[in-house]
Amino acid sequence: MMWFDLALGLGLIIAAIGVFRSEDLFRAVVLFVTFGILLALTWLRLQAPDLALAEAAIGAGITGVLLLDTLGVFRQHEQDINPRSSSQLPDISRQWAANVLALIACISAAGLLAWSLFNTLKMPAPHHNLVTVVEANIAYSGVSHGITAVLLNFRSYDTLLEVAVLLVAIVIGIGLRERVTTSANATSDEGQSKLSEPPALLTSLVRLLLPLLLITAIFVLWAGSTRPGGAFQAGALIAAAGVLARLGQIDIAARVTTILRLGLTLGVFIFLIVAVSPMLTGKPFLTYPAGWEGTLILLIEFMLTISIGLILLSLFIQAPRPRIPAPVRNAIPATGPNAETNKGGDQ
Amino acid sequence: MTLWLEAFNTDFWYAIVGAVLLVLALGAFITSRQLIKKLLAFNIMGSGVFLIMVGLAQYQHGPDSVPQALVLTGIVVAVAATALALVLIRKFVLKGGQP
Amino acid sequence: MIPLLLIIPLVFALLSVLLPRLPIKAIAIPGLVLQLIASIQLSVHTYKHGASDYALGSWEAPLGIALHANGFTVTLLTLTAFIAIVCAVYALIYLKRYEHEQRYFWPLFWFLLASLNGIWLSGDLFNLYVGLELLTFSAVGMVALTANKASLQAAIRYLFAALLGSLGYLAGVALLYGQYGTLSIQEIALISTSDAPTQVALALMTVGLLMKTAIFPLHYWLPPAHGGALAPVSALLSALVVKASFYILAVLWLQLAPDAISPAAAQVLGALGAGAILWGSWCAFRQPDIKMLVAYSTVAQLGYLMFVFPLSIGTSAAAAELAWQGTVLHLLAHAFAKAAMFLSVGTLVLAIGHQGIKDLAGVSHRVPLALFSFGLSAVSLMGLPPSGGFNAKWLLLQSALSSGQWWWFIFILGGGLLTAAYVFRVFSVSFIEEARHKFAPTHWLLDVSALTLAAAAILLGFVSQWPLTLMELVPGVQS
Repeated sequence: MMWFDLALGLGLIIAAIGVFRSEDLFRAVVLFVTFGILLALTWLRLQAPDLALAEAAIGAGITGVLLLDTLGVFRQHEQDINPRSSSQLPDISRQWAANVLALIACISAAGLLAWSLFNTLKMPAPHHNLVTVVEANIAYSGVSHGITAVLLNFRSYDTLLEVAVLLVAIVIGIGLRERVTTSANATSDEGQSKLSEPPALLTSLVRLLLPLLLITAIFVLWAGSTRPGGAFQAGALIAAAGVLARLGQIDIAARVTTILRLGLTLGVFIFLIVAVSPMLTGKPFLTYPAGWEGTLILLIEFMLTISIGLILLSLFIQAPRPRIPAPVRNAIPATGPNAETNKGGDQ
Repeated sequence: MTLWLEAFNTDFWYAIVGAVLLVLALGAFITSRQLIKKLLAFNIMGSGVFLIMVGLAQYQHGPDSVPQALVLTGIVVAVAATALALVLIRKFVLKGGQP
Repeated sequence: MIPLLLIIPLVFALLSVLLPRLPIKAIAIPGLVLQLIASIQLSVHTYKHGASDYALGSWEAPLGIALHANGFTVTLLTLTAFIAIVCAVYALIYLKRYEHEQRYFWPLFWFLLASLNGIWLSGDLFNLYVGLELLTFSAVGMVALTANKASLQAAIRYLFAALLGSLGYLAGVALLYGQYGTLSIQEIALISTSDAPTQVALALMTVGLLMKTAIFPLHYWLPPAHGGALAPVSALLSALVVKASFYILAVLWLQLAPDAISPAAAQVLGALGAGAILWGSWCAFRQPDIKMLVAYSTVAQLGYLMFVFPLSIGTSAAAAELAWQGTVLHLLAHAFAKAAMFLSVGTLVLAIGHQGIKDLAGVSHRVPLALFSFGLSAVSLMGLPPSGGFNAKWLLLQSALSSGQWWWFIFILGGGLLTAAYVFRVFSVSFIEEARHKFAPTHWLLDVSALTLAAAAILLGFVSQWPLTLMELVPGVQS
């Protein structure tokens, strides 16, 4: 084992403790993103470049953007309503009970895990081993990259349900968002509010980055069949491009239209059609016809990339935002540290 | 002790790191009063579980694409959970709740 | 035939997301009928030919994911399809006043059904995790539908509790995969031992699943979520959703690694069940709000499910079989009765416009059918004959006697009395002649759907042999 691993592992733990201990939420989120980047490095050390890519793009990237945007909305909200009297009186007895509970839970979990890991060290490796099974069957999967073979062929059912999970999240997001728009009066500018004029530098930077991100996304998608990459990482890149475009005032997907719905469901829809069609010839659900595996996997991945990108982007854009009266709106970008966190928000 | 040192390798070390993260995050999840902090703790706890999943399996039989694929699924489910929680929390705060 | 039970709800879920302005409500019913037919067909097939496996994508189990249909799973599939169809009919009428909510109710409803069917059928540990998350998300979304402050708070609490539970479960899956190098439940069942990693994995998964099943003292999230949701949502959550994590728990303990479980651990789960009955009933007794009363009743009734562990682990085969049969009947009877109770209470609240128990004065005259359904479902919950609840408790009592565990006997019997105590609070008010409020007329279909479910809970007392015959087809459970 190398010193690097020791340091990286300790770094992860320290970053995590920093997240838990920091009083300021903004600081906690920044530390959390740092944690994500360290974790991406860790995945590289564990010979899992796919996970490194996914962690950087999704775990640290998209999650970080969503969190920062939320903090921005909270600060905006605090300014909208009169500065909240710090009514958050800590309930002492409750907090004390939670601390005791946490202590018990931590000690038992730590004891259990330590006992389990210590015993693993003493034990022979299990006789079952999926590594050899994957290797023996990968030739029939239509792709040569192990993880893609597992995700889109051997265990494609998991992936189907996983995309359904994403879809449920955005359905709830849209459901909660639209309600405000319909219940609010015509004066409400929610959902249609334009971003404040972005700096010229930002706009030109976005114009430059946007095609670059899209090309990278397509490459990552294409790479997935032979080496690290695939629909989820590519989808995250598409979403990142969308977030950038939004910052550069290129307005997309702000309204829920039939076209957007089509885009959101496209991935699952095509996946389901490809999965069901072999049943017409008497083959099991989710079987690829022989010889067509590679092509169909690429087709599904392409559609999934579009849907995942749109879903992740919509989770950002459709998230509930406060209604902002005009004068306050102009005042916000000037307020010190908030400016950073507010970037992602509708201002 | 010698047993520990002999069998120790990178994969196992990260499994231990994952276990430590899991335990710390569990404590933070229970004690924190702010919803966002709970959400961060949930994410780190998830990362701990993912590290155990890949680290332990690879310690037993070398690089294995199955747990890696499972963790990839797990990461996507975690981001979906985070996004869903944030949507609910934001709506809740806009309705006058405490974040 | 098996994958149809996944495809139907997924297709309808997609249709409802894609075309929200289409009459999704109208196409929901044929879809549900289709699903019911498919589950009955599968049940008949299982009855005739025994348990069957289905290799998804033509990949056999350790590499691919296998679906597994046995007597227990087809019972649950049919139960799900039946309750879903009745709740859907109720929702068609009930949600008319919730113009916005119903557009999002239907996609979530279908995703919920897809995840439930997926969980009943899955034979793979990790796939169960994804199924549980899909279930959680759709259930949380349904709780948050009305988007007021209280329901959002309940939804957030529910989501956090469920996410924590899922991670406990997933940590166990990680340890088991490290230990056995496979995720297939059937494969692990063949080779499982009682070593430390297996026991730790089971402990972590158990705590996680208890959290998701809302077993005392991890039930804190359930009452606001189930009590605060719209009536058809509460019915689905209490009748089906909490049963999914219990089902996984039962599979882990009784099928996956029975050797790793000690009778002492089983006694602990039994004690939690007893605590749930006492605490849930006490809280139900003190609730001023009728919906919260029914929600706490769920906390109490879920306690009975825990008795299967002490009664079937480390006991004679005969006692174990009785415990298992009693538990399955209790699961079915509670699903019918609690769904009926939430639906009838929903109708009562709709008629009165208030949720307080005191406000129920006069309902016996003005909303008699809804009160009658409430009463029928209460009969089954209390365990009075003739009802599914009675047969379930009878079998559990016999099991407790034959295994010499008289202490569970007390709780099983006492739980019925406690149920009677809180249910009669409702009746004592409802027969007061003078009404406190004006009554709004309610649609007859609301009454019919609640009555159908309540009648099912009672009828189960006469046809208990049906599910029990199917249960004999569960490998590893029959003695």
